[in-house]
Amino acid sequence: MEKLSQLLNETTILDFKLLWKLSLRYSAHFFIAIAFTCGFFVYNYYQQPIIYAVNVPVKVVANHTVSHDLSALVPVDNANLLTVSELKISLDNFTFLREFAKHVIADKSFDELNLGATSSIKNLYAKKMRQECGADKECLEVKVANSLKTLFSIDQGLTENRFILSVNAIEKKTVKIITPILIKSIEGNRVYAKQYLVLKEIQSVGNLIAESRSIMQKMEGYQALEEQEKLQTSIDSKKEEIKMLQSSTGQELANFKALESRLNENKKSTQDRSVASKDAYESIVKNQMRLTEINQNIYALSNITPEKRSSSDNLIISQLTEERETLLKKLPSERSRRNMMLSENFADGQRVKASDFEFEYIVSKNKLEKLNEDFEIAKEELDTMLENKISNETKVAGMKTDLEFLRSLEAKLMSLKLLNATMTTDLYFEDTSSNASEFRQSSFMKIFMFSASLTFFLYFFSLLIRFLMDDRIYGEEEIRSHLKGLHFIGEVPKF
Amino acid sequence: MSLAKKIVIIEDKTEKEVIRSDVSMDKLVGYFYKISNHNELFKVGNGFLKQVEKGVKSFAFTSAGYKNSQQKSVLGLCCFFDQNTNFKIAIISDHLMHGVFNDLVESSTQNSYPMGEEGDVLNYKSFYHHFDFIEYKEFQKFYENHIYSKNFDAEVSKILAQYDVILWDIPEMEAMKKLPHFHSRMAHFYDSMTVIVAQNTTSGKQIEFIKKFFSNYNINLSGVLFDTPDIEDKPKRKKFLGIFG
Repeated sequence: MEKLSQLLNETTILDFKLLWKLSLRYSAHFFIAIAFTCGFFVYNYYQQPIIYAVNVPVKVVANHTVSHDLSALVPVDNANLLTVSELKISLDNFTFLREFAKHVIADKSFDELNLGATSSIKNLYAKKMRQECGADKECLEVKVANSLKTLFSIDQGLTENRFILSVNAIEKKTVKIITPILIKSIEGNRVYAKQYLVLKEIQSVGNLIAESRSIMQKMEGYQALEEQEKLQTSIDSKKEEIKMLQSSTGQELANFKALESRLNENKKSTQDRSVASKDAYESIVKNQMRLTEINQNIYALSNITPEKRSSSDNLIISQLTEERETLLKKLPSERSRRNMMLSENFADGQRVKASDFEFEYIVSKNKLEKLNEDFEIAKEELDTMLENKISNETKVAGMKTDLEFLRSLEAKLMSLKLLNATMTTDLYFEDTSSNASEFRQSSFMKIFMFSASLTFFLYFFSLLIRFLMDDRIYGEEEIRSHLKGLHFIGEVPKF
Repeated sequence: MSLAKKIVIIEDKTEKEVIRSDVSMDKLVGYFYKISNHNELFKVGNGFLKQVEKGVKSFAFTSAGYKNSQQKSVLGLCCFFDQNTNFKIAIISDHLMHGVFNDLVESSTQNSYPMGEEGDVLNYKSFYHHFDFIEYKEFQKFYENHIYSKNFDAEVSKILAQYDVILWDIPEMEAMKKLPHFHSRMAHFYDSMTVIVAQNTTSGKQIEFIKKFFSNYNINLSGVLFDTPDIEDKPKRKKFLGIFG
């Protein structure tokens, strides 16, 4: 107790002067402490395995919307809620680790990997793990997943949306192989995480659609709707038909009127032509035809050489020539005959036209009648359809809300499927080609400081314990404490 | 007695004696000036001198086995008293021929005191009348002859009475244990017991042992002399980083 009280000081708690004295008195402790520091440092620093690490900067790619306003060329970033804690939790998830393990096992260099934890110096070769598990795939996946868990970590980067993915291993090759696999796995995980909600929504919307359809089926809503749609289509086509009929009727009516007026005019002009001129014309035509016939016969007979001609032939030729002369006298002059013929041709043309007009008139009339008849029928049919539609409308009106809901759901399902199909990862791994750096788990300075602190602590305690245990006399203080009541005379003379 | 006084006294002596006196003086002066810690010597000497003035004249010195320190303390005091007083001093030790006293003892002349009526003598060596060196075994020899007699104490007292100051270089405790009765008898003549403590060596347990040992002889320790290690004897320690050393 006396020694303890010597160590304490009223103001400084510990009597540092005494401690300094003790350090000088027990100087061996100091050198032992120095040796201990060096030994402890060397042991702890060089016992650590060399760790190979690849640090991949990761950036959260913000969801952005491109404005339709051309003045805003830069996309507007939306706030992202991805935090390092959330990311850590999702990467610590065993499902993710197992997926990661599956990818690693599938790699062709799997057997060469050393999956030993960086915190220990124990090698853990994948080949050995495969041998241990044999054909048990699940065993291997679980083992690899548990080992991989210790080989990577994700930490907060310099800014809010930046992280640093660190992959560590005790072999350089392992780091090089597992880093790209890890990145791929994380990307897959992020996409799955983002798809999860959408998939759930798709499922939910699908269920709702099925339910709505079943209700509609039960209430014969589809039939009503189909009927209504058919009716509407029929009404529309019927209306179109009526319109066509109306237009055709109008055209035909105009045509009919025109034909009627022209026919009347033609009739009037042909009635005025005299019957006499008609007869004269017919006689001229008859003579003309006889003349042509005589000319042909004369020509035929004249082709026979006079030596070969018979007397009858000559007689016939003379008779024909006489007759021709007679006929030529009977025929009017060429001009009058041409005029007469033209007049007669015109009259014939007019007659032919009149018959054509008449035919067309009758056809047009019949057509008009048919069109009118068709129009009447179509009108009746349209009226019937409209009546049916009105009667069906009440039923369809009741279904309208359900139908709109169903249509909205179908549209939603479509957009969700589109979104799901186009889903991408929200993490961008910026630099995946950096070389693996070498380091030891605890730095030189860290271990040195730790060793020095520990040594100082132990040194202080060793001094304290030595002081408490040591009852040798070092000075007047000890004499006074050990030899109470004795007079301290002085020092022994030195010769 | 001052040095000048002594020289006057020895003027009447023969030439041979004068030469020897000069030799003795040189030796003593040499011892005196060999002492490196004069301040301590004067302090300690004055302390003892005051006790002498109070009537204490028999001073015993013991230690936990540091015989050399005991003898140095005795010799130092002798030098001090010789320099500053005219006391007749007796030095009683069990190691006169060894250690510090050896040189002086060799230069001393043999003398003896008659003891008792049976023709016993107590031999002593006188260093030119400065000090008388007496061996413990001289008393022991007489004690063994008169072990059951009261004459021993009387005869010893008679001899000691001739001196102004008696300085006892007490034997080591192991030696005392071998002759407890003799030392018990001798202890009656110690007026004061000073223990010599060696710095960095003597432990509290040893001190306790000494106290207990002498309390068995009915002697209480009265003072402590501190024996610090000789600086020149210490191996020089190189400074470590300029701090320690």
